[in-house]
Amino acid sequence: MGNVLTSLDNMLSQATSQGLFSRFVYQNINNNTTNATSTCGYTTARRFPATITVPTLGGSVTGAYLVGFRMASAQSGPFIVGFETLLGSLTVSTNSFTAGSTLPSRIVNGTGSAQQLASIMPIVAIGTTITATSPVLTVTYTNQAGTGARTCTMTLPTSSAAMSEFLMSPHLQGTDTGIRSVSNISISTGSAGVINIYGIIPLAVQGSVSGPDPIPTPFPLIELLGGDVLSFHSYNVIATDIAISNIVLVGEN
Amino acid sequence: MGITSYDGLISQFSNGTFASYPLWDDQGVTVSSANGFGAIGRLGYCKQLPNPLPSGVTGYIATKISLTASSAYAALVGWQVNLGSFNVSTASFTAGSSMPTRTELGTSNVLSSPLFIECSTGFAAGGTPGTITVTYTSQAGTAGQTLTQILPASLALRSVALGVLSGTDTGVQSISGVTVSGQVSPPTGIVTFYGMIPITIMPISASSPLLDNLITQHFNPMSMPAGFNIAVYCWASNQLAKGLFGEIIVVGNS
Repeated sequence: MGNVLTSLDNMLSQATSQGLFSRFVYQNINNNTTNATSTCGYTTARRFPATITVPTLGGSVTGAYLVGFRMASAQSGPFIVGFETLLGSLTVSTNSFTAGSTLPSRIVNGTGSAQQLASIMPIVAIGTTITATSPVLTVTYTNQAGTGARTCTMTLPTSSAAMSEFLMSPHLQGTDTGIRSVSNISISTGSAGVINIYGIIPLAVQGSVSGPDPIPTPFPLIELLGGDVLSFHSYNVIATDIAISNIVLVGEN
Repeated sequence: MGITSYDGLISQFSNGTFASYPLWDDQGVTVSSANGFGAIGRLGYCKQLPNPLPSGVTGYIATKISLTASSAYAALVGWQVNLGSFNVSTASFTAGSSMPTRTELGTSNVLSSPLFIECSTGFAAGGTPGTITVTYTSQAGTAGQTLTQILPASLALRSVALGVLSGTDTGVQSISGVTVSGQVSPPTGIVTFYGMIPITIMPISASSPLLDNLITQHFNPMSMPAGFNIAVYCWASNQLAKGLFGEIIVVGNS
C-alpha cells in the first residue's frame, strides 16, 4: 500500500530521506500549430516538444508521484502535464504503421494493486508536418474495457503543422471512454510527415499563471516508474511560444 | 537527520531557525528584443543567504515566497548557478561551476537546467558582437553538445535568451567552452550563463502581493547548501516591471 501520499509528514520525510526530483523544463514552439475542427478533436491543442523522463529510482524508492506542477509561457494556458505512452506511429508517405506500447498497469492513488490503465486523453500528435489534403485518419484500438478492433476516424486539417495535437476522445467508437493500445493506423492520402498516437494520462492541469492561483491537481495520482515519460500540452493557442514548466516528483517506498 | 514532518518544520520557526530575506529590484529596465532575447528578463535578486551555513544548520529550505511589482507577470524563482561567462570584446570564456549533484528519488544525479543566457554587462553601441557556440554537457551527461546564439547589437542589461539546446536535450549540466564567429569590431559587453534549480513559478500581481506556500501549495521543500543566489526571472514583453518587492521565508534544515 502507498505510504508517501497518506500524509504531508510522509511527503516531507521522503523528500528529506530520498530527495525530490524538481526541474525547470524549457519549451520552444517555433512554428504556428494548426487549429482543430469538429472532425478532429474540436479543441485546438498542441504537444510541447520537450518531455521529461522519470530518472532511475534508487535506494528504497519503488515509485514516484507528481506532486508539483507549474507552467508559464508567453501565450496563455491552460496547460496539462501527463504520463505519456507512445501507442503507435504512422509514416504518411508509405502509409506504414509502427506499433508502440500498451498502457501499463499501475497503482492509482497510492493504494491497492496495480490496475490496467486506459488513456482518457488519447491524442493524434503531428511529429513532422504532414503533406496531405483533408486526410482521413483511421485508428484501430483496444478500448478501456479491453475490447479490441474498435475504430476512431478523424479528418485532419490539410497539412497539419508539427507539434499540433488533435484530441481523439470525441471520435472514439460508440460509448468508448479510453484507449489501452493501438493495433493499426492508416491514412487516406498524404505524401509526407509522421503521425504519433499517444495515450496521455493527465496528472495535473493549470490555467494561465497570470491568474491569482494555479489550479491544484484534480486528477488521480498514478505511480510513475523510472523511464516513464511526462509530456506537456496547451490549449486554444496556435502561435509560436516559449514556455517553462516546473515539475516536482516525490518518491514512494 | 533533516526535517521529516510538518511539526518538525514548524518547530524550526518556534526555535528561531528561520529567516526572512527581501526580494527586490527598483529599476525598470527595457530589455532588448532580438534573436531570442527580450521575452524573458531577470527581474530581481535576493541577497545571497549566509555562507557558510549558520551553526547547526545543514541547508536552507524555502517555505514561502510573496511578490508584487508594478506590472503583472509570471515569475520564475530559483537557486541560480553560474555556469560561466563570455566577454564579447575579448572573445574569451570564463568557466563557472557545474550544476550540483543531489540525491533524487534515491539516486545521485547531476542536476540540469535550461540555459539562461543573460546580458550581465550591457553591450556598448556599435560593432557586431557575433554568434556564439556554446559547448555543454547535456542532462543525460553527454559531453560535446553545442548550441548557437546570435548576440544582437546594443544588447541591454538583464536581457535573457533561453538557449535552444541540441536535438532532444532538455537541460545543461555544465559548459566546457564558448567560441564566437562573425564579429566585426565587437563592442564591450558580457553574457553570463546560468542554470536554475527550481523554487517555483508563480504569478506577480500589481495590485497586491501574491503568496506561494512551498509546502502546501507547490510542494518543493528542497534543502540547499550555502553559496547560491536566489534569482527571479519573468516574461517581460521587452519592458521589465519596476519596483519588485517581496520576501522569501527560509528555514534551516537541521
